[in-house]
Amino acid sequence: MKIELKPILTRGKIVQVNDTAVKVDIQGRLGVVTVPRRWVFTDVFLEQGQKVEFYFSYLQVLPEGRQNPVHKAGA
Amino acid sequence: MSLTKDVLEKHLKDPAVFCCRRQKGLVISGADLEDPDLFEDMADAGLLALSKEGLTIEQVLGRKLETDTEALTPITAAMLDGINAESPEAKPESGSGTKSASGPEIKPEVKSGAAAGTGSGPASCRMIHVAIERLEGLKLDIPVGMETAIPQELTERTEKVLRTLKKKIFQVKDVIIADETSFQNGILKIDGKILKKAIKADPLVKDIKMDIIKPQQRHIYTDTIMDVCPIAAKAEGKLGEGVTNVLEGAVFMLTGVDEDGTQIHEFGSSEGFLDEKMFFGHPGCADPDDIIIRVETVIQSKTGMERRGPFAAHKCEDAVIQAVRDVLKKTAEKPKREELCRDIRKYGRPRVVLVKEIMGQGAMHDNILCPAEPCGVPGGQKNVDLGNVPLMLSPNEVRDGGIHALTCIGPATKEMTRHYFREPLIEALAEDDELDLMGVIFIGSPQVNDEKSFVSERLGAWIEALDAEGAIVTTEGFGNNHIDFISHIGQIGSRGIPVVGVSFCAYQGQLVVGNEYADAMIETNKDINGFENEVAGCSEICPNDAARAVQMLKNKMMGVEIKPAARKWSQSIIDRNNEILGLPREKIMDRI
Repeated sequence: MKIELKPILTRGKIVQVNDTAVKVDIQGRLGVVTVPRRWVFTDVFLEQGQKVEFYFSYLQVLPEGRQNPVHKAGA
Repeated sequence: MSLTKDVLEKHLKDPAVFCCRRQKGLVISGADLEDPDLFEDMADAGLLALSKEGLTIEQVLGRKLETDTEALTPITAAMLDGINAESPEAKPESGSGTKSASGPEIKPEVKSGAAAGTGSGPASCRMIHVAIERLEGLKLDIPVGMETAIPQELTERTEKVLRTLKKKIFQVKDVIIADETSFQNGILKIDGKILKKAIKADPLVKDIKMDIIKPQQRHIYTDTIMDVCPIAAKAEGKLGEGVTNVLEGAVFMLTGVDEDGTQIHEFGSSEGFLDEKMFFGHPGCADPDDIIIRVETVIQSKTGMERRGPFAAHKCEDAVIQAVRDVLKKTAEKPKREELCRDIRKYGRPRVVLVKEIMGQGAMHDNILCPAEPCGVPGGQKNVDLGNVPLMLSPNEVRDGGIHALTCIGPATKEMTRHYFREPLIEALAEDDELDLMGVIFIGSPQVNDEKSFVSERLGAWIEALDAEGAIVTTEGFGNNHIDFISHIGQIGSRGIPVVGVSFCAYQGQLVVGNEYADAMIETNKDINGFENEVAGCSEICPNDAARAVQMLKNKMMGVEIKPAARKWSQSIIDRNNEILGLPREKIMDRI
């Protein structure tokens, strides 16, 4: 069964900042996401405790045929 | 959203759709109609379904509505008191459409985040366009000497060579780890003991190993590919001039993990089988026949995400490379060939600048500028430490290894050290006889929006002071760096200077902002689905991208109309543009 994924606007809190990344607890104790600093738009310096928002959806496991893609350079 | 007069005139042949509910008796004007540019988005969102019976805007303007009609409804004949006659299709100005006499028309490949306007050339391009639809009995009296109205020094094509760099290229036939470092008869021997010395370059590096990977042995596991670095050494002079000895057929590749086994480039890292994780032959990568000298580093636990950790790995690798450089400087081998790189002021041709936005947000989002040795580390300055402000390098300085990339996080879109050593855009612009490449500006991309504005405004002041007549702006990777990328284009475009943008956007890296000057964009994606595919160097700037960017800049400078970009990324537009320019078809990374 294929279910259409619909991202919704989600909130979270920054729990860690380093030179590369920010780690965010997703509101509702739904997990943790770590993203590169380049993925954060901000008017202020990044600090622990700041609230963020982003679009997030449920996850769907890919079918078997798409589980292990091998890259090749084709024409 | 109702239509303004300007927008209305552009869309007379497009479908007429009411923007809001309208009542019987209304005389239809532009204020009642929806913007056709939004139709695709509305259709995707299920808000609008266009009808085959729908009329065009020119058919409905001024007509009376005979029935109450809901918003976003295509207007049909049954709703109106009559239909206006359609005007004939607008004829192209010449047999070649909007093509200029000087170059083919190529279409923008990336749509910016805001509505893009159409471009036109500035007065400074010294070009007079005359379009005459009908002509009869014209007499012209031109005063003798009118041609001297333009100062001779501006029209005369003279050249001044500022500096010359000779690259002596030596072919490597084999690489061996041995008891001494030497280069003789094409055999590069590297003293294995050098690792003991190299590890002392930074105490954060806890272990370092080196091995040789031949082209036929690439189905081998590798930790994440942090960098690919050419082997080049100054034999005479300083960076950008004199003589540089370069080894061809062998490159260094840096990989790294921390003591816990975590990949240093944790985001989008490219660990895996080497033959699947690098796009061999792209400018920043190893070539298909290259021997790869792999330096594997292990750095202190949990320092992989701090600036000092990855930098330590680069320092130690460079200590190994320096041992080879020291031999290469003094080699008595006969070079395979010599390449002359010249910084030339080409008077009488448009002055253009290449602006390269480099990452400046922190660890790995950093670069070393102007090291003492080509592609080296010591002697250079990091753009993050310099506040990411724009710095000017001469084309030769860049081509002589003026950038050691600490490389940003996206393997496919990052520009590694070898990329700058043979950056296709610099090659294309520097060797173009119609353009005067004044220099290459490197500008870092900071984290915070205010800082982005600060460095971008400084870039604008630079461009203005240079009196540039054209510019190409590039960026690596995607994310918040697109904010300053678009700002740079705005800073340049708003000064009346034609500007072209070059970036990976495709599907995953779509632009988040835009402005009216971001109307001429080149897409560098080479993944079939438009993703960052974790294959090192896959979607970096390649020679085809550079050729399209230079042509698009020339078109814009000539005042050739820039048509709006398609709403979504499409490889077919890029393929078509390559075809128009007679370029080979781009190899796209497929998945099986």
